[in-house]
Amino acid sequence: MFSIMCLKKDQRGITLIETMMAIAMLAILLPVMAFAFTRLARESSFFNVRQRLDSGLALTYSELSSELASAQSFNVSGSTWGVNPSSFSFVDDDGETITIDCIDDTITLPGGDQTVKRLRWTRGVETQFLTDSDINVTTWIAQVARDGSSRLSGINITVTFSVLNKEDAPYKDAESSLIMTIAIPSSVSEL
Amino acid sequence: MINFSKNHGFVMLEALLATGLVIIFLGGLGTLFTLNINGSARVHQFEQAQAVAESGLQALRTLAFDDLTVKDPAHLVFSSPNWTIVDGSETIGDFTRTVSISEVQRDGDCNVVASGGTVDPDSKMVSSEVTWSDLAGREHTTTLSGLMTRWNDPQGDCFMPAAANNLIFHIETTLWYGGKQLRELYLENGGSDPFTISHMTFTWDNSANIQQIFMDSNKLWSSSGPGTPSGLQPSGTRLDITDATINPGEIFDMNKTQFDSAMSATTLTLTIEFTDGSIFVSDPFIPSYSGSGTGTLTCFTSSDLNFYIPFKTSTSGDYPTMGTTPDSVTVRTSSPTSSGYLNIGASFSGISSDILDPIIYLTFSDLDLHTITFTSGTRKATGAEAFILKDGAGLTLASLGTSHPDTGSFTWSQALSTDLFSSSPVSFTLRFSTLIQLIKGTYYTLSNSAEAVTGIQICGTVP
Repeated sequence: MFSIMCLKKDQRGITLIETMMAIAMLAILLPVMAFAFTRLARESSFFNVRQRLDSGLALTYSELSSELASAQSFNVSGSTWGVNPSSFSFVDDDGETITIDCIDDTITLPGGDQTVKRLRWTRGVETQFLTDSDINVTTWIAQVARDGSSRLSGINITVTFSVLNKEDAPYKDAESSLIMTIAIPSSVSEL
Repeated sequence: MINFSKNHGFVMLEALLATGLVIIFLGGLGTLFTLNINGSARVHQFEQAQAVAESGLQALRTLAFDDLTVKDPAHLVFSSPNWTIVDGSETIGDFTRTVSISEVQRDGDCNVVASGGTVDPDSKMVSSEVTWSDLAGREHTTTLSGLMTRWNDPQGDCFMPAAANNLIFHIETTLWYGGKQLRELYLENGGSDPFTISHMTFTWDNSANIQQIFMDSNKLWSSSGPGTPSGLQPSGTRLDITDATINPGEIFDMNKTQFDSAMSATTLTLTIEFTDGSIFVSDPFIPSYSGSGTGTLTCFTSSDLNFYIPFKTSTSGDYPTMGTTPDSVTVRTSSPTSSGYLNIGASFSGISSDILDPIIYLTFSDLDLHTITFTSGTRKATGAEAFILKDGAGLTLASLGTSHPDTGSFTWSQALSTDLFSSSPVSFTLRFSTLIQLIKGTYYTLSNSAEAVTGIQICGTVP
């Protein structure tokens, strides 16, 4: 006990002023840094959502372009044009009828069931969705495009995707739109 | 023992250094994070720009070649159902899109050259250019270009006239022979070179199937070969036929092109694909109808029928011994299903054995082909009815069940074979059946109501 007390007499530790200055600097810097990082993380998250929507649009565009380029015939009179949601059907290169429409699908989220509009691809009895269950297709308006001689030459599709989150609200209003034009080869007949 | 005598703790400088290091580390981390986001954003913007540019190029491709006039810069305006090209550029979100149409020059070997060639009247270069600014304000541009040609109707020397343009399609005297066989549809080669047909696609507006295609005496496709696919094929099926070559000036009759049921008043189209890749699509046409050359459309009518379809085997049988009074059944858990049937004979006399394209028409009243669910409290049962048409020998000609699109009161028709009319009278059996099932509860009692078949007719062309 005696010897320890002697040692303490020679020891110079952190002064109160130094401690307070360090704490003050950290108190100034840490909130700034925390705010900056939080903002970055939020932007990154939002950006990822936007990127996913745009990638989904690009993928849908690519798939439809590919399908229509090899179609045999297009059922114009049997399709629904100019309304939201539209639907259209065509006969593919195997002679099978394919229908693209936008239907309500119920998905279960932690906040409860939600109805989401999804793009559906139907070929005979085979059905699959073109969009993920958390992407809401809020706009799907297809219109016929014709050339100067009134030949069916393409379709225009105005499409908007938005993302749902668990709290039943559009994820930070993230949505993405595109006007897709798909040229239809002259070999495709019109039904 | 530890000696603390030289220990002076942290001084102000050390505290500042440590804080500075923390700032540098966190700042670096933040910069990396930001750079990553900005890099991804640039890639993302480029992908978006590509989609906008691609959409512009596709819109240009919807225009007819004759509508492509040289223009630069220009943008596209859609006024349903046509795209038009107007001067100037357009803004789409964060992007500016400009399209252009320019002449194409080719050298003496018809190769595309940038300059020094002659303008090809059958080609136009179309481009879709998209510009945008990134987060740092730097300008970016992506351009998609393509060549559009009038290959199928060339005016210049670099494209051969397409076979489809040399086809002369004669439908002036086209007719249905015997109601099912297409005759006097002529294909003529009006060009100076032979052409070869590789595929044909017929469309028609009824449920018939195509059986065979002939060109003069050559069978090009049939359900049992040659050609693919095999089997009877519905409207719109692309048929890979035996290649058929037509020399300049030759005319072939597509006689004996046959379908499996009556085709009178049917609207047809024919798409013909040639080995040079060109395609001819006919306008819709309606061949004239001629049975065996002469004849009148006549209908033979039978009496209307009113009956009850039995629910139980014990009450089932032939009409009018059975089926003239209401029936009821109780299904229980020990016997959860019950079925019954009623056979009704119908005969027609006076129909010529030469009748062509005979069709039977029946109008059903309250025929519940689609399953109906009955509930009473928590108890539940289902019931469904079915119909079978049999000939006099008991062979099934057609049947209607739950998959039939109509239910309740509706009119149904069925093409009949002329073989049925070899002797008179012509007899049929209309067989109705029911199936009752207990779904929930210990029992369920059901009673039937009257059914009816009215307007029973056989119509056909009688020479």
